Formats: sequence, C-alpha cells, structure tokens
Amino acid sequence: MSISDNEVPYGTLDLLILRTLQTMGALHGYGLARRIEQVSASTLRLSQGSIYPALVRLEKQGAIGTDWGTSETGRKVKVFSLTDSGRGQLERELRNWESAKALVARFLEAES
Amino acid sequence: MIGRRPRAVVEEFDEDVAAHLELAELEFRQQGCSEEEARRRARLQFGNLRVIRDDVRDAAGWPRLEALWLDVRTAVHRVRLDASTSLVAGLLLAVAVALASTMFTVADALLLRPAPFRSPETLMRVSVGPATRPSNPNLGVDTLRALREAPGLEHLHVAAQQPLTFTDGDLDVHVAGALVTPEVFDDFGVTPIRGRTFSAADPSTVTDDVVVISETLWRTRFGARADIIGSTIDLPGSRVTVLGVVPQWFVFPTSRTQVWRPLDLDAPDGAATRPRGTSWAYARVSATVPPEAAQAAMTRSLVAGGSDATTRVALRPITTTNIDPYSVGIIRLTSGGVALVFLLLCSNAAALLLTRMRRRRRLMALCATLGAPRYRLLRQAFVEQTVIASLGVVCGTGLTYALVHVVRAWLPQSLSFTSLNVLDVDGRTLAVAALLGSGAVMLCGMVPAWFGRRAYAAPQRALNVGSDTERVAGHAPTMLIVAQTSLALLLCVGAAVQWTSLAHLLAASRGIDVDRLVTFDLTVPTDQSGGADVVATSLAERAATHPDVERASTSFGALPRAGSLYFADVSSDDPDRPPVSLVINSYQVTPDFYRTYGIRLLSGRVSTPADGPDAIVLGRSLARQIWGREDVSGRAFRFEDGRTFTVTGVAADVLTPLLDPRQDEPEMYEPLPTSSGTGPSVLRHLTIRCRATCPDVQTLRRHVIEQAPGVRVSAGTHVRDEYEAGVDRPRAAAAVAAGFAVVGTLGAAAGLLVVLARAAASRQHEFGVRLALGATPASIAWFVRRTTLLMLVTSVLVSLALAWPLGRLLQRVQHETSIADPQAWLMSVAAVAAAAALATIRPARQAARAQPVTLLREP
Repeated sequence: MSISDNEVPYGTLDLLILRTLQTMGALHGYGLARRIEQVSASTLRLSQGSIYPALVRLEKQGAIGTDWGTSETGRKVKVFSLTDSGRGQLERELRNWESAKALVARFLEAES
Repeated sequence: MIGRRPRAVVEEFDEDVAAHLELAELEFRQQGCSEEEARRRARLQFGNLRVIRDDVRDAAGWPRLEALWLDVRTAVHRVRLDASTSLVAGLLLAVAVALASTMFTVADALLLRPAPFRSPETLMRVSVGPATRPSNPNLGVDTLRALREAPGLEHLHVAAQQPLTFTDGDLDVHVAGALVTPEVFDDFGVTPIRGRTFSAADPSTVTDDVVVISETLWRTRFGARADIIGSTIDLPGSRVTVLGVVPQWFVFPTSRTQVWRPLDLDAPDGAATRPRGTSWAYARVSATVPPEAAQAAMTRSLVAGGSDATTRVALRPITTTNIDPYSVGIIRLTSGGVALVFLLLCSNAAALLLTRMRRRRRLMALCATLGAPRYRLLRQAFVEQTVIASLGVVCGTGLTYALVHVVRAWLPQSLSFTSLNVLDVDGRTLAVAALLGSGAVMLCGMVPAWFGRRAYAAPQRALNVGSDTERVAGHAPTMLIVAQTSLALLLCVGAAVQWTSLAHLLAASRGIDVDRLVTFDLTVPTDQSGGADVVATSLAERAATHPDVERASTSFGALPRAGSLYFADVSSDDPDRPPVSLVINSYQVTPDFYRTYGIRLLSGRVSTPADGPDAIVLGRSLARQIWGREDVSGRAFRFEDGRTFTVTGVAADVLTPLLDPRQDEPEMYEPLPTSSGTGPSVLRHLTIRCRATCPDVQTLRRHVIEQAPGVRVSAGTHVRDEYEAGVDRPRAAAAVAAGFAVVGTLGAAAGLLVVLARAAASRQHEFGVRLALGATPASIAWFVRRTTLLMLVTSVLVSLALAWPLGRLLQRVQHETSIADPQAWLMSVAAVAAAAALATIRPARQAARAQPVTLLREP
C-alpha cells in the first residue's frame, strides 16, 4: 500500500475516511481525497490515489457502501457512503484512538 | 462487495480513476494551468497508478489464497519444465507403493489376517497323534465322535472334502465340494445372500438332497439366476436341491470349495451325509476356557473313547495351520525383499528430486536475497513435491489393483488353496506405503529449499558453492547410490541362487519316467457287472488296445498324487527296533502299475490280489526307515491301530524334488481291492504309457470312454505337468526374485545416472581447465567412469558383508545351492556392472565433448 512520506500512521487512513464520510455524507473518491487534504491543511502529503485501496478494503469489510453517481464533469463516478456497520467501526476506532492518545499523553507527562 | 472478483473491482477502479483525474484536471485548469500542465499535475497528485492498481487488486482479492495459487502454478510449471525427472520420480514412487501394498496384501491374507469368521481367536484347527507329534489333521468318524464330547467346546465343526461332478448340459463340471456339520454357517457368522443355510434346528435343511453353493459358482455356472433357490442339480446317482447361496468371501475348508452338503457323524455307514474317509475338525472353544485346557479336555475324551493313552490332541489357530514352513519362509523372504526394493525405489526417487532441487539452490538463494520470505520458498518446494508424490500415489494405487489381480491369477495353487481369506487390496497398507513413499520424496525435495532459505540470513554465502552445508548435503546422493547398488547386487545374487535352486529341482531325478504318461480319474459305478474294480481293471486292458498306447494300469492314487496318506506309528517285526512315526503315501495298485510307471523292483516280487489285501511293496527309503536296511522281503510291520502288513518286495523310491527332503514322504503299494466298496461309485485312476508320443489327451479320453460307457472319465493330465506343478512355488519364488533383481538393478542404474550427471556438472570448470591445459576428452571421460568404478567396488564390499545374513535367510528355501555360489556372484556383479556402465555412457560422453571456452565462460 502506498503511503506518503509524512505519513499517515498505518491504519489511521481508514479512520480519516470514515470520519470524513460521517461528517460530509456521501462523496466520490476525488471529493474524499480533497476533503482530507483540506482538513489536514495540506500538512499531510497523501497521494490521492492511495485512498482507493483503503476504500476497497472498507467496502469489503462492509463499513462503507457504494453507488454510482455522476461527477461534476458529467462522468459516471462511484459514490461512497457510511453504513451502519461503518458507524460502529468508526466509534470503536475513535475510542481506540482516544485511548492511545491519552496513554501517550500520560507517558510524556510522567517523563517530563 | 464480498465475493466480487478482483478483476471487476479493478475495472471499476479504472473508471473511478478516469473520473478522479478529470475532476483534478478541471480544478487545476480553474486555477489557471494549461490543459497539459493540469493533466500532469493531476497525475502527479494521484500517485503511481500502477502501484495503486496493484494495491486495489490485492485489497479486493484474497492475497494469501492468490499467493498459494501462484505457488501451485509455479510448481506445476517447474514440474512440466523438468518433465522427465518428475515422471521418473513419480513412476519410481508408484512402483514402490504398488509392490509394497501388493506384497503386504498377500502376506496379510496368507499369514497375518485371522480367518474372516466370527471370533476367529476361539476357532482352532484340531490335529491328533502321538505325544511327540500330534500333527495328523485327518480324523476318522470314531475319533470325531469322541472329540465332540469334550467339555469346554461350544461346537466341534467337521469338514470332509468331497469332489463333485455335476452335469451342465452335455458337459461334466468338476467342482470342489465339502460335507460340513450344520452349525458351520451360523457359528462362523455367514449370512446367505440367497435362500438359507443348514441349521441343526431345522431337519429339512440337513437332508442328503440339499446343497448350499458359493456365490462364485452361482454367478459363473448358473448365470446368477434369480430362481436358483429350489432348483435342482444332477449329481452321479442323485439329484440335489439348492438351499442357499453364500457370499464369495466365505472359503471353507479350502479356497476351492464351492458346494456344501450337510455332514452327520451319526448317519449310518454309506449314507451320503456321512464322510467316507477322514475329515478335518475345527473346535470352537468357549471364550472362558483357555485353549490349553480345551486341548487337555479333548485329549481325555479321546482316550476315554478308546484311543491309545499316548494319543494327544493339538489345537492351532485356524489361520496358520494350513501354510507349510516353506511357504511361510518364502512369503517372509519376499516381504523382506519387497521392503528393501521399496526403500531402494523411494531413495532413488528422493535422490532424483534432491539433485533437481539442488540445481536450483542458486535460484532460491537469489529469491531469498531479493526478499522472498522463507515460507514462500518452502511452500513452493512443498507444492512441487506434492504434485510429484500425488502422481506417484495415484499411479501406484492403480498399479496395486492390477498387481493384486495378477497375483490372484498366478499365485501357486498350493498357496491359494490353503488360504481362508480372499485376496483383496488392503487399504491400510496402501495408505501406509503411500504415506511413507510420499514422505521420503517430499522430505528430499524440501531439504534443498530449507538450505536455500537459509540464504536469507547470509545470501553471499549461499550464492557461493563449497560451503560446509553444501559439502555434507552433496555426499548424500552418492551414499544413497552406493546403498542402492549394494542392494541391487544382493537382489541379483538372491535371484541367481533361486534360479539355480529351481534348475536343480527341475533336473532332479524323480525315480520314474514321467514322459508319455497320461492319467485319468475314473468314477466307476459300483453297480457295474462284476464289480467296480473288475470293470476298472478290464478298462485298462481295453485302453491299451489303442495303437499309440504301450500299456495301461488302474490304481487308487496316481503318481505324484497319493491315494491315501497314513499318519502312523510303525512297528517292525524286529523287537530291537523302536516304533517310528511316519507319514506314508499309499497307492492301491494292480501288478502292471510298476511297469506302466517304470518303477524298478529292487528285491522280491510285486504283490497280487491272491496274496491278500495286506501284502504290499515298500519303497526303499521306507524299508530303511522301518528296518534300517533294504532287504526286507517277507518281513512284516504294523500300525498302531493293529493293522499288519507283509512285505513282498521293495521298489525304487519315487522322488518328488522338494526343497525340504523331509517333506517327500515314502511310498507303499497295496493291492487294488476286488470289492467295490460302499456308496454309488468309487474313484479310480487310469494311467496310460504312450508309445513314441502321446496323442491329444482328448483323443485318448474319447478312446477310454468308448471302452466303458458307464464310467465317468475326467479330462486327463500329463504326469510330467503334475510334477512341474509341484515346483510351482519355487518357480514363483524365482520369478519374483528375478523381478526384484531387475527392478533393483534398473533403479540403481537410474540413480547412478543422476549422480554421475550431477558430479560431472559440478566439475565442469575443472574439466574446462584440464581441457584447456591439454587433457584429452578420453581422460575427462575417465574421471566420470572412475567415479562409477569406485562406487561399484564399494557396493561389492558392502554386499559381501551383508551376504552372510542373507544366506542364512535363503538356506531354508534353496535346493543344493548356497549364497556362496561363485557363479551367482559373478553373474550378479556382471549384470550390475553392465547396468552401471550403461548409466555412465551419457555423462562421460557429455563431459568429454564439452568445449573449454564454453565451460570457462559459464559462471
């Protein structure tokens, strides 16, 4: 899997995608990639194409659903949306992320 | 998404990519970029499309399964690339599996497997005799009646062989039949497939006009008719009704028995249900009674019934009683030979694959260096070996069924006759042989892969030859070949010894002239005018009127088949000589019997009917055993039952060449009785000596039938053929040994070819340097041949060391020869050396034809 040098820690790209779909609703691949870039204020250098393997994986897991729509240029494009299972997975990953963040914070505080 | 094919997902991804790039280009154009610049930036921003497409495919598929499938395809491709080696290895494994499975099937059926009856461990064969040798299984009615009273027995089953002839259209069909006590079928757990069997509780099933037939007879003679039950069969003088059909796995008391009639020990003398001669007895011992206690109780019952106080009963498990020691020895030796051949073939297949995989060690080291995980290397090797092993197992299974079919058809009758188990492929053996063979093959294929994957840690070392591990692994094939060649040599020597033994047996003197002798079995009705024996004797005179017949005689018993077999303690009229326990072949003969067979009378004269029924002629060896000398005309001896014989003359011995001379029983010749005996007919034998050559047996038979229309005449056999049938076991053993020797030699040669080719290939640079420095191609070829010679010499030395234990094993099954026979060794070494020389030709020629420039240029 291609991950940019800056890196999205392995496994968090899924979290970013699910969170973006929860916030923005159904999006096509380009819209998803641009939204992630915008939210990260371009500090996260992610090749846009790298979200597609993650999207295929999430769709295989049942976390997201797909449908065919039409892009702004009139071309047929796949639109992704969050499923109920995806919402549950997002909540779990958020809790895990918060736990990991708290643990690191406590450790750094103790060390200082 | 789940279950969608990766290809479809990738196709959708391509559409998505097109839309994505289009939107990105639009955004860049809106920012002021030119169309070309917008396109370039869009693609740059997207990333490496090819890598991302691969990631999408991996994400959509099942990477582990796809990697496994790729390994399988790669393995199959490699197998096809080196098809000849794969095929040879697979065939070697197939032959090994087939030989081992077939041999164990035979050994299991004849030696190991209990009889296929209910609770075979409590079923015992009964034999009786003096305390020193209670080995007589042929028991009279009085003895059987006494035995059945013994406590501790659930049943005493009795079986008497009764050859039957019935009419099928205008053909006489001879089948092996038996009288059996009614409880046999129920107690042995035999359920009929049609109708019912005998039952002591149902008197209608134990009459003299009912029979039970075998499934084999029902299918072959009666076309598996649905209305077989209740149909009738015409026997000589009677008509019987078919009561039931029993399954073909039931073979009792011999493998040839196909018709059963009820036996009644209490029937009056002459009744069809009473055995006429002796019978075999089988005791069903109570499960709570030890066999030794049952044996003692039966002995007491026998003595209480009037037998001599020194008489003993012996009980033996039903499986092993019928197999003689020679056959047991042959089966064990053959099993050992098969086990060795199995090892040889498997090791050969393993060596082939080991060599092939080692040739790819550099490739595997390279793959490891480039990042191939160790488990992928091992998995690919595993799959490759599995394909080859599967080929071997599948072919081996088919070959096993074919071999068992052949064995069933060609097994000497003297062996198959005694087996109570049907010869069928043993699935357990097949599975074990397949597992062992496949395991050996796969292990040898995995070893180089294991060493190759170690290059993961030290790739630069694995890419160099000459490491310690390489040297150790490199000697393995050579050692295997030395072992194989030694084994092949031993197999050749064993085969040569067997063939020499067989040649001696065939050339041994028989004591009679077996050429131009034809024998017919006669069934003579007792209601013939003048009596059956008068008819039979006059038939011999009339048969001799044929222009091609020199003389003919009638007898009961025709050489080499005895009329009667006596197990007796013989006491001579010399009070200083103790009784001797003997087994005697007895023939009841007319005076012209001796001239017909060419039996030389050494002293005295032949006995005639006027001398009485107890005036006999003895064979020379019998006279020596009883009196210690041959001049015994006029002397007398008696059996322990009181019967006394007077000797009128001594004849030369009739010899049946056997590996164990102790099994060749001596002969005595009694006068053919003039009374007809009881029963509707008597069995007699007509022997004809032809003049220069014998006419066709069918022609002779028709001539005999014309002389006595009321007499049934069998098909007729040449006496020479009967004697040759007597060596069928040694002949079979020699043929099997020769087969093993051929397989072993070819296998060793194939392995040698592989090792030499590898050795030559590994020394190519050296050969190139030597050629460049002036060595001749002949000297290069000599390097290869020298390797063969060294291995051959080593193999001979190893074989010599192993010859002594082999010689001890062969001692019991060889005739007038031994393992030290120099001729056998010379022939065997020559055969193996010739095979090795043939295997050396190609590698030596290839090494000698190599071009130094080409060799030195290769890495």
